[in-house]
Amino acid sequence: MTGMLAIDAMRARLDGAGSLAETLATGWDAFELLRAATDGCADGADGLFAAFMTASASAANGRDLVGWAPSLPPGRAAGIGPRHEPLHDPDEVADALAMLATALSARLSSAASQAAHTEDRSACEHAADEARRIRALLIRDA
Amino acid sequence: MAATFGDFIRAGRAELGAAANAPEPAAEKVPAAAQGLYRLVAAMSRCAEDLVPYGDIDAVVRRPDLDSWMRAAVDVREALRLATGSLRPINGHGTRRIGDLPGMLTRHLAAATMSLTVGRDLLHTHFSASAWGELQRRSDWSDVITSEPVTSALLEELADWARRLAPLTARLSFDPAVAPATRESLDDAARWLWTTGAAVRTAQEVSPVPSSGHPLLHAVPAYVVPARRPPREPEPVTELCEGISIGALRLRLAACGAAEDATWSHAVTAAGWRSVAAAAAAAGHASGLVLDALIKRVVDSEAGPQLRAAAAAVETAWSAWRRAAAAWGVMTTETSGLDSPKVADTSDLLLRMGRLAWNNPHWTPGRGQSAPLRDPADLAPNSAGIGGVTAAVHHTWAALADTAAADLGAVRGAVRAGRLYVPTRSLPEEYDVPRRFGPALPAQLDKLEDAYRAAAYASAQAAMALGAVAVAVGAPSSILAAARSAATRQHGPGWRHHQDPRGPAGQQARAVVGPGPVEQAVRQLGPVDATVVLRAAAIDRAARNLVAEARASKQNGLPTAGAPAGTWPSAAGAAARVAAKDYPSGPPGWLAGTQTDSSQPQLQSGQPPRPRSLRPADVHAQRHRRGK
Repeated sequence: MTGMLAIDAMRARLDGAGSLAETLATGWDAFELLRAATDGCADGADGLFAAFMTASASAANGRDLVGWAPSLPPGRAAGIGPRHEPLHDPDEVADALAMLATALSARLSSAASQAAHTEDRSACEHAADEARRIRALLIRDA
Repeated sequence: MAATFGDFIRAGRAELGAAANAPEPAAEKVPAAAQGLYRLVAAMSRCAEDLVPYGDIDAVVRRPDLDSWMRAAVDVREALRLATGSLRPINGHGTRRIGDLPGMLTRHLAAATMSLTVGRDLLHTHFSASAWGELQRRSDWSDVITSEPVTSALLEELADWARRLAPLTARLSFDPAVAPATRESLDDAARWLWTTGAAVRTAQEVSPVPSSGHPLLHAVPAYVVPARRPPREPEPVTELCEGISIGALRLRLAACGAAEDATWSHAVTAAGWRSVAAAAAAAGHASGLVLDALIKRVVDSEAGPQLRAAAAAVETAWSAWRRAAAAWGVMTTETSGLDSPKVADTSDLLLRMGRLAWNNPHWTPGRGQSAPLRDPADLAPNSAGIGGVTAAVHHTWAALADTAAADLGAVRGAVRAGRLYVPTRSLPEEYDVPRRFGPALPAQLDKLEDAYRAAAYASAQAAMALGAVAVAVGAPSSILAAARSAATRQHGPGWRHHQDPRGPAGQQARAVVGPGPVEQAVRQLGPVDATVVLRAAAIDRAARNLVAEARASKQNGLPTAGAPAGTWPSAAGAAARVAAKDYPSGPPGWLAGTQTDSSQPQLQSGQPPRPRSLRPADVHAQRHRRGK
């Protein structure tokens, strides 16, 4: 179970990402964190089950889109932070994930405007769309 | 609503009834009526031809595993062919002068022929032809059409039509003013029509047509993919249920042929599969909530325990779909995108099922649209409402069962085609892949396949449990439950390959209209049982097919082409199969032990024997055993 600490750590990494390559690498990890967290929270979240399942699929799509950007640096992923935290309230996790998705979409949109390569720009724009979709699914008041 | 086979059968029966009551035609109009009869009996003969999934000789040699209905199918087909042959105009049934109007009888016969022909075409819409000319299923009705209950019902229907036509045919020959040749052919045809009617009696006694046979036959719809109906806001419960049924039908039809697409189509992507699995899990979860509400509505009825069992099966099934979505992990395909219609259809299914479960006509999966659960009395205010909602959930799980089975096949196809990758950044350090993507690991592929297998099994169980509920509450989807049950009861390998009328075997079949040598020999013995004549005719036709096949292969300078693995041999191949059936594959018995092949190493004691190559008949037999 990926929890609040990992989400906070990922937000800090996103805030610190400067270059396009850093944004893409952190973006890949952030989407993977969103995927793992929404997937993990779906259990026991009766009213939010559909939101978490749909957000999980969107996160995987966003991760794949970033994965095809030519400027994504080679090498291994940095990971998605501490795991096996105590289980948090799904509502609380959904709030935190919605904020992470908001930050992610903003970073990717910004990176898209700076990208020189068409494919990088396209990957960032489409991935930002997925992040916005996740935000819309998880935010408390649409 | 799509037309059903029953629409045409009912119309045809009405025309037969009207033909029986039509005034006797004048002698000069009898040839035209005979021509009408010829066309109708020929149409019936083509229907019967569809129902024989075995080679003629299989029936002739009284194969012990050939059931009574399949033997009846062969007999009905032969009897109708002989009736058609009797009625076939050698020099025409006379000419019609311009301005002559066909008599009442002729018009009713023509209308009945049209109904039966269109009905048969309707059944054929559920099949397509492969490059090898083999029939392939196009929908879940394909297996229903070839099932035991439906094929036996159709045979019974054809036999009944023959029994109605026989006295009418005989009556036409009474008028002494009619030409003797025409009277003789009508008498002969009447006899074969009576034989057709009687050909199913043994089967009816041994194994009566199941009660579901005729209703299912009548319910077979034309193959039509309904247009997508995107959800609108707001939709009342009845519209939601109707929309769910349409979306579910689209998914069921899309499930056929999905496995082949997965090996090459760029529109079939990991993103699509994952989205479908996620939406299926979420829609399934919502359907569980709908069932919980229904349970409250039928708490005191007999359907209560069945509904509770179905709810438990549904919970297992949506959990399995959830694991299938998760099993994708970091796997991807070389293309992305959500262009598959299945993605849109499962999303529609999720939206509508969510709007049934929650009291919010604008519900979406988003957290901002959360709402309390719908009041059970609002969901299903009366028995019709309970039936409608049950049908919606039943249709949903029938579609998800087919989708899971299709996706399992598609995932296997994608694995075989090497289409599943993982990003190397997700791999442990010990994997040294100098590219950004590498092939998915075997453990990941196994996990994915296992997850889809579990989803397919659990979804099928849920659909079956909901089928029982549908029958119990009289839901409109009861026929779907009967169809899925019947589809599991196949005679064997399915409908017979259709002889290409333009091919050599087809030309041969058309060219030879008279009795063959075996039939002639049997007839020369004097009056014999009609069944013996039918079998003799079948032997003659098998022989003609064999000769036609040999001639075709000689003209082409090619050995007889076999169908690829997994398909059924062509009509010409069937003749070879018949011949191969009794051809010794090893040395004759009297040679055993007296000769050895010096080119083959001698077997040592205890060494397993070398496998011998399979003959076509062995392959046929193996496939047949698998099909049972």
